[in-house]
Amino acid sequence: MSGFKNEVAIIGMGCTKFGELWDTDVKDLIIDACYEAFEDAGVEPKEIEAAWWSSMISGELGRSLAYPLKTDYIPITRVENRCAGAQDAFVNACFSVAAGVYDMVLVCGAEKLKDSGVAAAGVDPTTPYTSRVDSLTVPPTAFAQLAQRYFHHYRIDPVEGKEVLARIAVKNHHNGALTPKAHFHNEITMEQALKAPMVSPPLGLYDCCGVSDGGAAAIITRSDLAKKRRNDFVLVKGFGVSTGHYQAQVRDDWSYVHFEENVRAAKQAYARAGIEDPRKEIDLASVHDCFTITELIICEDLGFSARGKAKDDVIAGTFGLKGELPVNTDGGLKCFGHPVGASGLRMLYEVYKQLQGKAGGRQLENPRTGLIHGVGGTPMESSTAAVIIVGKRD
Amino acid sequence: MVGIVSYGVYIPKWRMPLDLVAKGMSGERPVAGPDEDSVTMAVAAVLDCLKGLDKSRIDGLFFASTTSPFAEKQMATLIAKATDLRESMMTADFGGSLRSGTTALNLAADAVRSGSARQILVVAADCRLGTSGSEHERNGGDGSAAFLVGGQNAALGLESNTSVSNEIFDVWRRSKDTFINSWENRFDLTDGYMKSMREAILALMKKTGLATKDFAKVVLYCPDGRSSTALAKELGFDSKTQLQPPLFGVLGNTGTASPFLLLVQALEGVKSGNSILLASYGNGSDALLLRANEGVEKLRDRSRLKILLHSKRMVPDYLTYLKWRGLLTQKDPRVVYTVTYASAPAIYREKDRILSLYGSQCTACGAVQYPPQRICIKCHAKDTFESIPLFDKKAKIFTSAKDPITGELVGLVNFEGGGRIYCSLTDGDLSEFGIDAAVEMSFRKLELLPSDTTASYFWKAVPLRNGI
Repeated sequence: MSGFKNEVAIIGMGCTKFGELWDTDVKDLIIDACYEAFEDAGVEPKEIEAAWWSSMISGELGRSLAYPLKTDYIPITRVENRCAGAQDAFVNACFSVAAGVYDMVLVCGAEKLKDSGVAAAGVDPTTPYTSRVDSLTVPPTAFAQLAQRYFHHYRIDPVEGKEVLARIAVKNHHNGALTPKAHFHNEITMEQALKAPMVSPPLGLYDCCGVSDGGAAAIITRSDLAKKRRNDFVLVKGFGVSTGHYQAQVRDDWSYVHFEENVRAAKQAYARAGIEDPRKEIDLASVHDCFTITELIICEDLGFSARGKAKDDVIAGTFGLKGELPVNTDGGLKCFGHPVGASGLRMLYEVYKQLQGKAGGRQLENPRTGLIHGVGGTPMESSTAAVIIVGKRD
Repeated sequence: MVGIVSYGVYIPKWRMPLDLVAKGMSGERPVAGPDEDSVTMAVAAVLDCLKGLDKSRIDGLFFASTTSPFAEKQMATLIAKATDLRESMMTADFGGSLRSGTTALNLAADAVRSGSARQILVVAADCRLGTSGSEHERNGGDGSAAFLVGGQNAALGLESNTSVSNEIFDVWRRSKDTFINSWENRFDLTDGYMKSMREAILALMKKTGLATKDFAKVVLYCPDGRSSTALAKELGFDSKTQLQPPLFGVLGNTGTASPFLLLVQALEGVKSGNSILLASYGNGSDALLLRANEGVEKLRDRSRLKILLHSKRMVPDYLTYLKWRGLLTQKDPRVVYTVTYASAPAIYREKDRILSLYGSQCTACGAVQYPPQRICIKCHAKDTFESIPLFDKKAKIFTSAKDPITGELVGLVNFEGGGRIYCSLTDGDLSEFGIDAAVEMSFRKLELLPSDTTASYFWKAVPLRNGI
């Protein structure tokens, strides 16, 4: 499978503090994330030749990025693919660099969810004119049904299943507590997770990720040009993107216990990166834990655990900071927060920092290859999944 | 003889204990759920009426109600579409009076007699509102009933009828009003109900030459739980053996549907050859003579009234009832669409799949799909589909969940024979919609956002209401 392994390098990244940022506008998030990235890369803003902008509800056109940054009439493409928007924007930006069209490209994602006035992830104001008769999929309901079917399918006792999910929440809260820019910094106990108020059974409060404001940015260039900027740049090894087609609703035989989009995106990414055994070859993964059940299933979809067996790995601590394959070392969506269009770049920021050895109290021991995963949409309506594999230069 | 060939009934699952509105009062009244109205209840009664019947001879549908959700916009068309009747037929709404149901029934019979229609469906439904604490509220009841009028195999012949009109303000509701209004009870009964009912019934007896003893059953609309007994006694009927009790505390005054539902209840014990008197009231009275023919027992046995009266859930409190009727102002927990709203052209072009719940079946591989597709999700054949109605299919729950913001239940429902729908679940708790729970589809009103100006109706899954 053709790709652009080792041809594109990440030379700078930025990420704002995530959280309920009542005094911060989306323009501030863009400026703070991008200028951290400029500084990190040692790149002047005027060197940027093109940009990709990712946002769900915080700015529809490319100008949303140009206005705060005052970019010099460069092309800016807006990408919206919900929670996989930033990964998708990043991959498309990589295309332009790998094709030799641009040498210096900015990718930025930012989101103001908390200005909506509702305690949920808001809604896309561009929802099309339709009959409006079909039931809306509120994310907790779609993922609660995923947990319901998963437990039923693999004959997992709901009490045991709930405990497995709680372990994931406890792990991500532990990691979040070690991450200064994360939305939540509180460690939680199993008891807290299990006794938390129910959101959509079986998912309780700690099974759901944060609704946050935040922004993140990356600067990419051709790898042969990267050396002039820094020595510890990070290389793009492989990518995969897959979009579903409402299979769970329209197919009457869809089992609703996995994301086929994740499986397909991972397969593409592994082929491009030359990875044969992801569990052994990947040193850390930042995955889309919008709900604890999602992280559990993703670990199977990405080939970290066998089907129906991710719970054994969760119980064994495989995905903890000291485990065999640490997952969501920065607290994940659960604790770092989930400003939709920015999350993919936040995940990349964590892996980038880990590969550079700059992850502070949660630093892993010499990781070389990291995986970023995002899945936008819901299993009920189908999704776009994206997997990006990055690694240290040889 | 022209008469009633089939019938169907519907009583909502929800009951309000009368104690909630009048401390210490026993009994209950049916109330429409938050997603029900006269139209959805009418659809349910028509579906019950048509179960197992050939629909090809139906040439018209009349909808009678004082609580049509629209002042201008026919609802018979919607009911016909939701019950999968063809478009090439006569449809009409009757309203303005609680006797509009019997008026529609008489006109349907006249149309069949004249040969202008082979069969006509008449459906009556009401969901009337009394002011808080009023007798109208306590005595009310929501429900519906449908009669199929035809010229052949009529188990209940429509033999004769008389009508009187009476211009009076006794019970009324202006177009702009939410609640029923009425004058002093004694005036209403004396110069309204008793006078008109008496005149219409005496005229019918005179016209048919029948005496009081000739009627096996007397079915009288009753506004209050007492007056039909008083009227029956005055006219010389035996209120114990002949009069159908008005069922207050159980069914309540179901408005336009009331004479129909009481007639269905009165069929208990009716034999072939029996004469039945049916009289309705509302600015006058319609009196009808019905004759039980051969097949009346079979007709009676299709009644689901007993099951529907037995299968019930209590409204938890009065605030819930007020909220369901839109009488309580609360903060809308839903995310408001700032730009768009339900689109009339979108509803129009998709009405087969929305209102008649048609899916598509791939002729290449047989896969049933909802909503209808053009490219088969299983075999990828293009435009090789036939429509398949799904509204009457048995179904089972595949997944279910509760929306934490609105409390609405949603889930995936698998149809027997293939096909799946993602839809709302209603008339039950999440626990009643566990994996593999049996459900059926029910036509319901959707709650729209303030930016919407139309009304939307769609199908939801409900627990089965079988068994006693």
